[in-house]
Parts: sequence; structure tokens; C-alpha cells
Amino acid sequence: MRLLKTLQPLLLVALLAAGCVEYNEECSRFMQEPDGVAGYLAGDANITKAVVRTDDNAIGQLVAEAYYHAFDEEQAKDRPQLSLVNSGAIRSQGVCESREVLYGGPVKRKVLRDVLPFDNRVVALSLTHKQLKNMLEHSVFKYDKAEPKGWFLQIYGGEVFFDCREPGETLDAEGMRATEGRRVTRVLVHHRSCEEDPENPDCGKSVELPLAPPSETETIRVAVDSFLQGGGDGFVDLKAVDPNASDTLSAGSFNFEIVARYFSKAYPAEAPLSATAEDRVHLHECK
Amino acid sequence: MTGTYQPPQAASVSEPPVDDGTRPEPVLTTGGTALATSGPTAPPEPPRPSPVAGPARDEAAADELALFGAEDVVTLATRQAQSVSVAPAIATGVPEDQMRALGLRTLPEVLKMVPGFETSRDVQGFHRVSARGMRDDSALLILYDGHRLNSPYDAKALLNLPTENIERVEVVRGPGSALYGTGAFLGVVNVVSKRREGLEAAASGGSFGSAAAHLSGGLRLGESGWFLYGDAGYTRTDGYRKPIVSDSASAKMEAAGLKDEEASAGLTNDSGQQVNAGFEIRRSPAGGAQTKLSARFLHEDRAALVGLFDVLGRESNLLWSVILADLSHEQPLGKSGALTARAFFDQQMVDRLFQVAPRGYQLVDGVSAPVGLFERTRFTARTYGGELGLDLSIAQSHRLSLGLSGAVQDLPKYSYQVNWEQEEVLAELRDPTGFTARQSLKELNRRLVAGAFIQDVWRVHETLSLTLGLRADVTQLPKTSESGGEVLIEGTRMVPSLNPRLGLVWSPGEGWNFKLLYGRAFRAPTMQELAERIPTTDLSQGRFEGNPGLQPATIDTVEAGVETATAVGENKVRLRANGFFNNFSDPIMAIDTSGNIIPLSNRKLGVLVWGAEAEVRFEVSSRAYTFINYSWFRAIDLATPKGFEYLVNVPQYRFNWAAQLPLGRHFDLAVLAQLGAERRNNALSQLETMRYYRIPAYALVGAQLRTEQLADHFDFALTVQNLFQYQLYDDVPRPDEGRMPGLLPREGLGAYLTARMRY
Repeated sequence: MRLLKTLQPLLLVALLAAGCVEYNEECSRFMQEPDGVAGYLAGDANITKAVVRTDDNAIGQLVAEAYYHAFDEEQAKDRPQLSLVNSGAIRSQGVCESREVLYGGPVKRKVLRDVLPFDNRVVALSLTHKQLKNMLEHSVFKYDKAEPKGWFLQIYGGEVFFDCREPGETLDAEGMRATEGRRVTRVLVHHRSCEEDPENPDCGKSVELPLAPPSETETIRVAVDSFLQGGGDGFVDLKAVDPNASDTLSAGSFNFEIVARYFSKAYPAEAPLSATAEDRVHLHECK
Repeated sequence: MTGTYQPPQAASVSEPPVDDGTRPEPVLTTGGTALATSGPTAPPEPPRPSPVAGPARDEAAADELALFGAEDVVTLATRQAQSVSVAPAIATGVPEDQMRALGLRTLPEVLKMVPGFETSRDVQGFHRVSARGMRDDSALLILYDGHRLNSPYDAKALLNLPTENIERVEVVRGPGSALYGTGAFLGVVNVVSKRREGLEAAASGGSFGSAAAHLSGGLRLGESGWFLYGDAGYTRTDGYRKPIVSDSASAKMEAAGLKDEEASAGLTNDSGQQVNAGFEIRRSPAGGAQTKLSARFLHEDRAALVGLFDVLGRESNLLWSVILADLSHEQPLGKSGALTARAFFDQQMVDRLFQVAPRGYQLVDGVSAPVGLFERTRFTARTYGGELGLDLSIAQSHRLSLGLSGAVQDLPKYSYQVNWEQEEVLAELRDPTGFTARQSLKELNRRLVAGAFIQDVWRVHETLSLTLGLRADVTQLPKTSESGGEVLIEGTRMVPSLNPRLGLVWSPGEGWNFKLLYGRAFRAPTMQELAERIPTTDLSQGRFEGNPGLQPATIDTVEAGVETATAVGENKVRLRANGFFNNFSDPIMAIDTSGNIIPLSNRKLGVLVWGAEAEVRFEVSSRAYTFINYSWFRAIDLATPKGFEYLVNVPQYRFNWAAQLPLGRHFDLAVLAQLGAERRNNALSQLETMRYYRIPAYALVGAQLRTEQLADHFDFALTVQNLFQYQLYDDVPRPDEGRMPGLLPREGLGAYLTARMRY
């Protein structure tokens, strides 16, 4: 009896404590208002790797478009002329489920968060034409439809033409460029409308970047996320850009919120985003 | 777990000897007779100064309340042999007899029974130990006869030690840097070898093709005070074979027609063998001084269980050799003190060959690897240095200890080789072209560590003792600056660390002890955490690399404990309970934010952990007893948003229960049960919330039927582990779809027969 009396409180504590386990919320995302609507899709948009990482993709282009417009409040000279997004930033595996499509209609914030899980800043920086060309060459480094690569770029603000019959770049063991690629044949920059950017002499025009050879001094404003800015996915040219340069600007929020806010503003229910991507990446003989 | 298997007479601790940090030999007496554990007696000790080992004991009450077994003794808490009950630390001693009685065959099995500890395996086959909710090789100091067993390069310790030649395992939960310097962060474990006269041998065999043989012995050489001890052991196993559902190479192998979609990726490979041999030559003449020369050699050759990261690499092979050597001298200073000096040398040689893609793997279209792809890391890491210590008894109420230590940690050899580059499979392993391993930089491959400590154990009152300690360390770390996102190394600097401790132990009598403890500990980043780099390839994504800019992590711990022993009729009951609170600052953590190669980082806002541990031991006789221990923790990462902050990859509660019953005169039956709570992935980044796994709560039951000593020399034991074949799993680095969603399966039922002999 004495033994039981002695043990009883201890056993009770143990039993109570056994129930005192806590776990993180299952199937939750690092975000606010998960059930809010981020924007509207006009149809089903495929987001599998095989599609996103090998060709133009509506969701990838949405992200690039959001990055492009993240700097609309800046001075004209600082706004990006192109924005580039690595396709690996768009994921089909979510917190609790994997999905192959985003279905037409309202897209909830938590679903968009599954698709855009990485937390990066969005930056606008100046690249030389050569740096841009090398970046685009890297987009089709080891291009293979059977093994899609996350560094394939989605584009807004221009078009790029690739000819995969030409040799691609090669990298060494440190991930640095060993030889330059020759697959980029044309780069077009669609400048903003003259209404939007009246001071730009090229406003409203599509201008072709001279690539033979690409200038190492002339620059172009590009929007990317901080992952690419840090050389992620092998985009080593961006590491050479001084992150503290006066014309390197950050949009402030993390990329997901930037995309969600833009999606909501630009593609409401009455004007949903088309699920069909625009032709901006032109691939010739790329298999 | 408490107590030992002993004849039923009350035991008392009388004048524990001064400890030189390698192996204390308390003389346990009952009415003047040296009380043997089992077999031959320990050699007599030279006279030692009277220690102040804690509050005074009421001998009559102690005799009545003492368990049938002798009290646990630890040296880790103050470097002096002390009873666990009065040591200023939350400590556990697991003596040899307890290990034998419960069939605990390896060190990880012993640690799994210690409150607050949990063990697991990782995909590379290493045994991992977590303490109070945190799993970090660099944060748990493992000592083998006082030597650091943790490698200076990556802090891994060769943990899979058989227990046959171990006399006891001492564990202190909580920070120990005030005495032991860096790495004694979550706790300290000391493995103490058998050092006694006579000859002992053991042989065992059983499941998974396991076999082992062990020998230990000691010899007195003449009457001049020379003793020679030695032990040697060999173990081998074919290991368990469990299917890996799929790995990250499965899709490619299926696409190439080399694997059926329905088939598993393959079976685990846990085969291996180990050699463990040591000796000690000791001179303890009547004059009191003691000189010891000891050395130990460990060698392990095994497969990788699964593989390096998220591919099953059955042809991986890991070699690991460890040499530990030291020479120490202890000189008594009359009756009031002792001076100790010790020089040591440790070397770890590692050769880890990992198969990172299976045979036939298609590197790119048209290029396949007939033998698979391999990555090999080899290094030699050394530590050499010395320690000086002084122990003084002052005015009967103070025991002052002072110490100085200095060591050089060195990485004289390092190589990293692969058998493929870009789109080419190579005929042999070689250094990757154009890749420079940072381990060749002198700022990263050699460093000085030095420390000084002072500790006073003050018997304030008959019932109250206060331990105050302070240790100052300096560690040589790289000096860095950042430019363009790159960390540049610009030399080295000495980084100081100050680690205080305070321990109040109050023993008011009637078998009660109360403890209130505070300690601070630090751990410097390991050489690997600073330097490791791997080439950027398709197969290296998701892995971590070193960061030369890492800073030391610190922990502040507050603990409170209570213990009571009571007699219930002729039976004895001991209860222990303690609570703790840990504040980790700048912990070094691997958090995946990009899925690429990610550098380690200091987690700026830190981690908080709090919890409780309790033990109850009930003894009817020395052969009939039961105990239960329970531990619980809550760990929170302060940098993650609410709803994601819990660290849950280690079971939040654990129960251990064991009981032994005599079956007639000659047999004892022991049963043990181990329960652990459900584990899930941590959610420290958005990516980690997506890499979801859930490992259900587990219940493992084991049993052992053992004979008492037969013909005074022999005993036999049949041990069964995981009796009910519970399907146990451990976590993997990438549990998501397309990687290794089936997790790491662990072994099922195992049975072993052991025969022992003692002379």
C-alpha cells in the first residue's frame, strides 16, 4: 500500500506527460491566410517537371511577370527590362499532396504556396549583355526532355531563341564555366509601352540584343530572385554582380507574396490568367 | 537505471580515491571486506587524500535504505569518484552487472536505457545518439577511459562498442564543458574498461550471422606494484536485410529497364566486423605515486547500411581505425592533495567509399556506369596534447581542483575522389578535376585548443555541498570576411569561451537528496563543419557543405533534481526525478532552404528545450527487481513561425522498463520494454514542411534467460531482442517522393547465445 501511494503520483505524472506531445501543424504552410484566393486561372495549367522545365509555362511566366512588375514604383531607369525565373522554383510536390495541374478557377494561396515553396527575395540588377547571354546559355545546359532541369528559365519581357544543334556550355567540377555555349541565337527585349515608360527611346519596341559578340560593358536591367542572384542552379555569372551596387534593388517582400499580390491584382475572376503560355522561349532541335 | 547485482548487504562508499580522469577505482566496503563485483578483486589503491564528496551520509539510514546493489558511481561530475546520488550532476551509472543482466550487448543499447537518451541509425549506418531532444554528434562527448572518442574532424565516435570488456558506462546529462571543454554540450559519456586481475572470456553467436569473442585479464607483476591489464574483442555480423522501397536512382533504373517498377530498390547491408584491443601498464608502489601507460586500438570494417544520402549503395565500404594512447602520472601531495600530469595521443583514420549510384546507372543518354558511381573520402585526424591537474583538500570542507590542458587537432591527410566527372565515367577513382578541397588550407586543417579550469566542492554544512566551477577555453578558428556572397578566409583567431557551473546538493537525511544545478557549455564547429565541400553535380543536390564562418554554439542549462530511497518492509524503492531547461544559442544546424548544396549555418535565434526525467527502482532482492524510467522533452526552434516551431524528429517521450526474476537457484529471467513516441519531420523551412514523414510510436520488447555462475566460473545467457518483431524505422535525409519515402527499416527479431568464463 505504501509502495502504491509512493508510486501513484509518479505514475500519474508519467501518464499525463505521455499525452503531452506536440507536433507542428500537419499540412500547413509558412504563410498567412492560406484559404484566401491568390488569383484566377482560365483553365488547367500543367505544372509537372516534364512540362515546366522544358518549355514556356503559364505559371512560370506568371512568376516572371510578377517579378517584372515588382519594381513598377521605381524610376524608369531602374525597372527591369527582362525577368527570368528558374523553372525549379515551380514545384508540383506540395506540403501534403502532389499535383500535376493547377485547376482552372480560383487558386487558393495555400495551393500557390505549394507551387512556390522557396523563400527568396526578388531583385533587379544590371547585367552586361555577355552575362545575360551566358545566363541564357545555362538555361539549356544539358537540356533533355527526358531529364528536365530546374535551371531552365521562364521569361517575361522578351523572347529567346535557342538552337540545340550548337554546342552547349560545359562546366568544371567546381560548377564554373569551362567553355561557353553557342546555343543562344537571338535575344529580343520587348520594351514597356510608351504610356508606361515615356522616357525610354525604345519604348513600345522589340529590340534585338547584339550577340556577336555580346557586349561586356553595355548593361540590361534584369529581375531575378535571390537564389539565382547567389549563383544558385549554376548561374555563376550572377555571383559576379555586386549585391551592394547602388542599382541592385530588392523588392522587399519574399517572392511568394509578390507573386500572390500580383496574381490577385492582374488576374481577377473577370480576367483570369490563361493556362496557355505565350511563346517566348523558342527551341530549335532541343530534345 | 541504478544499482548493481550484489550480495544483499548494505554498501557504503568509503574514501573514494583521487581520480586521474581515466579510471577511478572506488573501494566499496561492507564491514571491512572488499566487495567484489564478480570474480577477482580490484588491486589495492595507494592512500588518497580524503575527498569532500558531497554532503555527509547518515550511515545507519544509508545502510537501511541502500539498495541491494552497490550505489552507482560516476567520476564525470567532478572528476572524482562519487555516488550518483550526491554528485552535482544528473548522472547515471550503468555497471557491468546491469549490462549482463539485461542483455545489453553494445554501447548504443546501454545508452538507449538511460533516461533522456535515444539512439537511432542513419542511412550511412552510423549509430546516432540524441540527448534531451537534440541529435548532434558534436554535442555529446564520448570518452573511452578518459580519451575523447569523438573524431576531431567530424566529431563522430565509433559508438558500436561491445560491452563484454566494459566495466561500466557513466553518463552525465547536461553540460560538462566546465570540466571537459568543447563538445561536452548535451552530456558526457565515459566508457570504463575492465581493469582487474584474473582472466575472463566470452563468446557469443546468433542472428544475422553474428559472432563475437572477447578476452580480458589482469596480472600483478611481482610485489613491486606493477600491474598489467589487457582486453581484446572481435565481432562480426552479416547484418540484417530489409528492403528499401525506393531511392532517388529508382526512376532512372526503371526507365533504363534495369529495375522492375514493383521491385524494391534493394536490401540494406549491415555486414561488418570490428576489433577492439587495449592494454594498460600501471605502477602503483606503496609510496603512493601512480604511473600508467595505456593504449587502445579499434578497427571497424563495414558496409554502409543504405548509402551516402538517398541512394542505396550496397557496394559501399567504410573503414575506421582509432588509436588512443596516453601516459599519466599521479603524485600524491601528502594527505591533502595530488598532482596529475597526462600526455595523450589519439588518431583516427577513415576510409569511406560510398556507392552513390548502382551498377548500370545511366549518367546521361548513352553513358552508363557498369560498376556504378562511387565517392571516396579518406582522412587521418590526430589530437595530441597534455593536461596538468591539481587536487587539494583545504580545511576539511573544500576540495579544490585546478587544471590546465592544451592540444593540437590536426588533419594531416585528406582526400576526396570520385569515379565520374560531368558526363564521363572514369576507369578509376581520382581527384575531381579543378576541384580544390578546403581541407588543404592550414586555417582549416589544424588548430590549437587550450583550457584552464578551477572547481571547488565546498561542504557548506553536513547536509549541504556547493560545487562551483569555471573553465576558460580558447579554440583556434578561421578568421573570415564575406565578399560577393563568398566567405573568404583571412587567417585564424583564438576564440575564447567561458563556462561556469554551479551545483547545490542538499541531503537532509532519511534518504533524500535535492539538487539545483546550472552550467554553461560550448561547442566549437568541427573541422568538417568549417571546411567540407563537395562538387556540384546532379547527385550532390540536397547535401550540406561546410561554412568557415561558423561560430561556436553555447548552451545554458538549469536542472533541478530530487531523489529518495525508502525501505518498504524488506523491499527497497528508489525514486529519482529531475527537470531541466536548456537554452541553445547559435546552434549549428543543417536547414535545407534551396534543395541545392547548402552551407551549414548558426541558427541565430536559438533553440529552447525543457523536460523532465524520472526513474523508479524497486528491489525485492539482488536477483529480483524492476525499474522504470521515463523522459519527456519539448524543443522549440525560435526562428520558425508559430505552428512550425516544434523539433519532433526525436521521440518526445520515452519509457524504459526492465525487470529481473529468479527462476530457481540457477536461472534469472530479465524482460525489458522500450517505448518511444511518434517522430515526425522538423519544419524549419518551407522545404522541410514538404518533406514530410511520420514514424509511429514504437514498442520494443526484449528478454534474456541467464544462468547464475555455474561451478564458480561459467555463465550462459540467451538474449532475444525485438521479441515481437516490431517494424521499426528511422528517418532518412530525403523522405519525399522520388527519393526515399520508405524511410530506413531497422532490424527485427534477433537472438544471441553467450557463454562466459571467469578465473
